Amino acid sequence: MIAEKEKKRIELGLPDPGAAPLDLFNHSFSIRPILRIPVNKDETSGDNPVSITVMTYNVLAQALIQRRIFPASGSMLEYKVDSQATP
Amino acid sequence: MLTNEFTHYQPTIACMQEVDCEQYEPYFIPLFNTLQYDHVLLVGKNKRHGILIAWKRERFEMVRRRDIHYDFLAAGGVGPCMYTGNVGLCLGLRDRVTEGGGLCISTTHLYWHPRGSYERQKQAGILVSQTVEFASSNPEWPIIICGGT
Repeated sequence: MIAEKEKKRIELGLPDPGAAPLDLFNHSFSIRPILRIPVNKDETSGDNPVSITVMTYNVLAQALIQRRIFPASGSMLEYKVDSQATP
Repeated sequence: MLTNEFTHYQPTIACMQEVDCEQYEPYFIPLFNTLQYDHVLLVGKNKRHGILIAWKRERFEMVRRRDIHYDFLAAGGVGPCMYTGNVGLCLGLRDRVTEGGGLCISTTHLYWHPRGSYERQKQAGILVSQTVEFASSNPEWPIIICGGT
């Protein structure tokens, strides 16, 4: 019975109801270069200066997203969609 | 996507603004634990989002902290004018790798209104003066200030 239903589903080209939904969201991001800050070599300690990287990021709180401010942004404002970009 | 991006860069120190309070525990805490960051979150009064500084646990240790609430501080002779709820955060991080090394890192989220240049200027001035005063305990440590509006 189930095999017949499956066969019929395939013949009709219907999607598999048990399959995971297609992930249509683009999870890629623009890779930005790390900018180097000039260092005064006289101030570095010893011959082996250590380095660090610093990132600053506004992560766009969901609490601040309001339709009246972004009327043309469609479903992107909905948490289920927006959370795929930022939490 | 933020997870992918942050995992890609894994900066030694990260400063974040507009960290949603509702997402802080279910998302940000696990993210930082997974990637071995310690962090501090500061939220202004009546705000639903805050600012955050995170650092690689193996590299730095927080030794001092100053919370900066602009609404209660003066910029030179100019006192508070209005309630904004904006805050700044300043940390002293000791370098575990370099003997005697460390740095002071500040971040903030300034007043949002497009015509609020005066308030933003005042807040920025407070941030710089508070950070410089805070950093005076370790004059050999560099100061980094970053953030947004």
